[in-house]
Amino acid sequence: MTSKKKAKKRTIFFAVLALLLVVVSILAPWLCPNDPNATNALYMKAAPCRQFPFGTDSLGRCVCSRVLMGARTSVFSALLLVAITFLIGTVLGMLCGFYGGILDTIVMRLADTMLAFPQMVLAIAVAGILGGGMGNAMAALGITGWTLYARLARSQVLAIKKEPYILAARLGGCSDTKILFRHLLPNILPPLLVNATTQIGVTMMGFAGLSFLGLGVQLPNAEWGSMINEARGYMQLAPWAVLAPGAAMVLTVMIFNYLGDSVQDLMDVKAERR
Amino acid sequence: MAKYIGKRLLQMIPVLLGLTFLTFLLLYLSPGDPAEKKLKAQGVAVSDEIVEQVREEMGLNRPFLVQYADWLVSALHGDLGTSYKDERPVAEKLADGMGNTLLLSLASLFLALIVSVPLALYTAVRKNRFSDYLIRFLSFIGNSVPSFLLSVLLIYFFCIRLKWFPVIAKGTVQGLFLPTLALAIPLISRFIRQFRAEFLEQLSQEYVTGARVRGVKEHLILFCNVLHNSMMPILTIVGLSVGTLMGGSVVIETIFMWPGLGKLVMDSITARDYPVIQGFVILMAVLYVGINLAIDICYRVFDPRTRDAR
Amino acid sequence: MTIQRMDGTVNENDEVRKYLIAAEHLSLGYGSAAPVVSDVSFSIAPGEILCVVGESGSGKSTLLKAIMNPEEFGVKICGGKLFSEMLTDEKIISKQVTDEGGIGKQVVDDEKIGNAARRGGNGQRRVGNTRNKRNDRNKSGKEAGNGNTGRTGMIFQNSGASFNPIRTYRKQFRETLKSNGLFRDEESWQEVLQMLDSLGLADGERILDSCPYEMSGGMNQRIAIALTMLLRPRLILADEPTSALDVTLQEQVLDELLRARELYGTAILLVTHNLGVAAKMADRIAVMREGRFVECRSVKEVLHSPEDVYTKELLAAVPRIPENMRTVPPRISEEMRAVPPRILENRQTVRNTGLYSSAESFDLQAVVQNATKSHSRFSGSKSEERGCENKEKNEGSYTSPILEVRHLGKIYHQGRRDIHAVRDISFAVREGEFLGIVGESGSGKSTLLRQIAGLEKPDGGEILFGGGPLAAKRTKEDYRRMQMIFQEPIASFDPRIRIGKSILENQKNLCREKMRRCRIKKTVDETSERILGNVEKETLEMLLAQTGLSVDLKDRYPSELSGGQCQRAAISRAIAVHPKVLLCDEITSALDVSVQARIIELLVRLVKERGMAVVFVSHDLALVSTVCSHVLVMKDGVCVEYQETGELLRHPLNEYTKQLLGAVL
Repeated sequence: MTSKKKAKKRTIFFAVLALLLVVVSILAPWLCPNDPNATNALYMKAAPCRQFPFGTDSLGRCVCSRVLMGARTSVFSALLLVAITFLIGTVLGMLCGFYGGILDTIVMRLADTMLAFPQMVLAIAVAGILGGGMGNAMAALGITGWTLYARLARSQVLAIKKEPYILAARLGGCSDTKILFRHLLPNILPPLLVNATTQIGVTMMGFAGLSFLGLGVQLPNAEWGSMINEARGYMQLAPWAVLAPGAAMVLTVMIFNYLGDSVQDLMDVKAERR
Repeated sequence: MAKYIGKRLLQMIPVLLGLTFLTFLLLYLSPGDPAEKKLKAQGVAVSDEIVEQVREEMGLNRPFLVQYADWLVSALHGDLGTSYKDERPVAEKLADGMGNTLLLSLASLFLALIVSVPLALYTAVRKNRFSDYLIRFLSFIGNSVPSFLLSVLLIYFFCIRLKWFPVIAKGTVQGLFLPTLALAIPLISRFIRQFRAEFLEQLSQEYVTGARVRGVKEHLILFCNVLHNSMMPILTIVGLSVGTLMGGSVVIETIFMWPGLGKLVMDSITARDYPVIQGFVILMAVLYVGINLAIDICYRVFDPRTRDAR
Repeated sequence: MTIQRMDGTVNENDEVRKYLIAAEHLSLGYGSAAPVVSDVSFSIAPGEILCVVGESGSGKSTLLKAIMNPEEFGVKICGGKLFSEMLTDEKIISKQVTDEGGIGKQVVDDEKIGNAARRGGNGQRRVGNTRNKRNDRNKSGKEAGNGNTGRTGMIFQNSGASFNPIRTYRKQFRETLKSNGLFRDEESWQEVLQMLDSLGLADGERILDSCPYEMSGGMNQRIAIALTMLLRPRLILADEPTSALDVTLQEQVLDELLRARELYGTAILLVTHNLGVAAKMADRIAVMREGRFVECRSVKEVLHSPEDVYTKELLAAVPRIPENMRTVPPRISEEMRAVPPRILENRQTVRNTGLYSSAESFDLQAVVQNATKSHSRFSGSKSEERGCENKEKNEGSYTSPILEVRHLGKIYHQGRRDIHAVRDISFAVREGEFLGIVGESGSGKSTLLRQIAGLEKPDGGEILFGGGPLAAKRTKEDYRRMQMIFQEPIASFDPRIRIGKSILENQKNLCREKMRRCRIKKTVDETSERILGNVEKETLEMLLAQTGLSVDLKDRYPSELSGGQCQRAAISRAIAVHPKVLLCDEITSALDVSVQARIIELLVRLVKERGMAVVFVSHDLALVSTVCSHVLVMKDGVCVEYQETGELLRHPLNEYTKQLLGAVL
């Protein structure tokens, strides 16, 4: 019992931190000390000082402001993508598991095909061929992302479908929709939610990786991955331009990973390994 | 057994068809006209006539499915098309990079395994002690650091600050060290967590209690039973992580200028050399599927339960 | 093992006693929670069999774990003392002895086993720790009888799981023997084969080269006994060793345990919920309830003249075939048979004690006999609010069957093979009648029931309801007329919906149409829709009351109820829609005997009141024969015998039925 309580406390703690991150990313434009895109020829690669808390990059842009704006792209895109893939995957998986038949065969074959690609390899290729940009990057990562939820939802439904309470509901005259959404959905949700939470951090790293390779967010928009890529060339001169977005990245991913972990402990289900 | 392998191979066919189809579709959907892109990549001045001529040469005026079938047949013969940039066969270009990438991947996988298996076993046995917490915390951090950031930091400390290694690896043994480390650290972090969970799962099985109650010595339980029974789940985890390894190698080869497939594909993306990208995806996907199929078959060999089922 | 006379025992009060294990006011618990076992005292002499009988949650398994190895199982000794012979502080023990009494003399080999235990202990870090504790036992006041490894063997409920499923027995035998210092190459294998042979496992070599997962539960259980015996334990702890097995196998395993005792003089501490098993095996029986021993005496005393109220109740609740009805003598226990079927002659005394006021004492046999007689006298009394329904009921309907099954079959395709789960089953049930279907696991009885309920499509044959055929696709009305109750009470309710809501949901789904029609007939305002809420509440309260549940349970979640309560709720959910046929799938097999008795009582009463027909599926022939008027015996999907109950018991025609009857008390 105590471990459950601990998990609950931890979950709340990290949920609050994650929420804080979301709030910061929403309020980023108003929190920036400087204009994130304004170049300043006088302050190129300047060390952190009062005006530029994290220093400036090679074009004299304020690193602090750019990190804040970068939070917006990173956090939002990751959350949005996870939400979309979660919804699509869950609904498809549930329908497949419940009805089976031809729909099941088609969707599952498709999922199998998608899973045959290593996620990052496909994402790099898709983004590379379609060209950079946030939308393409999301499509590139989402194209394999939904399979996780679809397969999980399907297997869960298949397992729970045989439970006596579902049989009892059927004998009690519940319609299919009622069984699906009133009895099945609430009971398969915990493992799906756990997986979705653990995926946030992974997705974030995927986005940053694509941006780092120049396949994600396009300039001059700020994004942590692309900032690190840009600044690594002059790292011995201005390490802060790499370290600031890097630290922000690690912290954010850690918070979401910890959140995923505590949710996992709380709900007492294991995340899929991928 | 042979029957099973045959069955699995047959099952692979639709997946491979779907896989090649999707990849082909990808190229088909890419913006712009392939003929034009090809000419641009070669730096030839573009006129309508030349474009039309090249289109005819490339067979682009035929229906989509015919093009796909044609491409698939030649792909089965090992012909993945020619590069737009230098007209060299894609297969040849890929083969050039393959060796270096394999070297890098195998080295990191090896490093990851010899570090993570003992550590995971240790943390599982000493569950909830200080050392367990420490190792798990470190692996947690390792899990949260993107590989590109890790590489950049490694370069900064070892090459720029300490000057131990050259910045550009160029495929030498000395240059192998940092990319291997950069690729292995995220893997190690992942493996420790997943293996530990697997070991704990096995340790919580009733047969462990049974053996203890019968007075079987602890080291026999650990090495002959727990390790034996977790072999296959561990191999499965490794198989799945090969995908991560492949994705990670693109990033790391780009950063360290390691002359492998990853670098090749990034260069091709910059040059809009689409057949190479396509060839790369196909190669990786087939490898990935093949490795996991092989592991599945191994599972049959090592776990008699699955062998006798059905 | 060389047996020699050892006279190192204490002589105090001129009594010579020997103990393998003794407990004195022992209390056990997990973590910081309240003790699960409290103030338990007992002792076991060499060669003695003590059975601890109790229902689930009585703490009997915890006791066993504490004796085996408290650290391994996470059991904490909260108070009292547990002695194993090796660490005897002789004075204390002998005092303990005088309180207990009634243990025969036996000879023991002290030294040798002590050594084995020490050897076994060395390999284990955990045990090593406790050995340190043992040294200052006088200070701590609590010591464990662990380090027992090597001279105390344990047999689990599911021994298959206690072996590594994917290593051969040979490897596992070798490592076990090696760890206990008993392995000597060829010689040992000879010994192993001998042991297997002596326990009736002739094909030793083949067994050794196979893996546990390939073996059935019964085989695994017997191999586990063989391995345990190879370690030459003087005490075997057996935790429900037969509960996971079919009745015909149970006997075999028990016989092997008895043989082990005869051959090697091993003492056995057997924990079971099954009084029949205890009666067959035990020298002494300890009845356990809520962590305490309520009675601990010889078999005869406990079974024939139980002193404790709870023991009496337990004995009365066991379903048994009346003596005058059976021709096949039971093989399990002579002792049990000698007990008169009705023990509670004077129920007043039970109530007066006030101890078990919640647990109504109750005599299963009596209740059932009344009910089965009365079903023919049933007159169509239906609940009032459902007046419109009475039309459907023609007075002559009890003579013609309400449910009839003709040549029903079900085939599962597994690879290229077809498996006939159910083959050509026919039967008929009338209103107010109980039909019993008996079979062991895998006999297809559950599949049959699901087909009737409409959860699985039959492959051939037909189901007639009230004279008309039932389509595979059921209408709501079909569902309403036929309800089912499942084996696992808690799992048959959605874990995320409160019990009250679950009970009403069925009614809302199935009876709304009908209710509306009724209301129009009675020309009730449509505006009274709002009153419906109140009506619902009243119905719910009535339903709960009818099944003996308190009203405040309606806001609980299924996991917050006990199995028995949940099964009552399941019954009220079923009767809420006024079904004509009730399908019961092993509804009491997950419950304790005393709870089972009360659930059956409730069911019989409801059926009597409402005139439903019941198809009662169970593996327990005794239970079925006390409740049902007709019995259908199934084996491998086929009906081997379909008879009137009395006829079946008196003149079983089929060999398999006879076998089943023999295994029953």
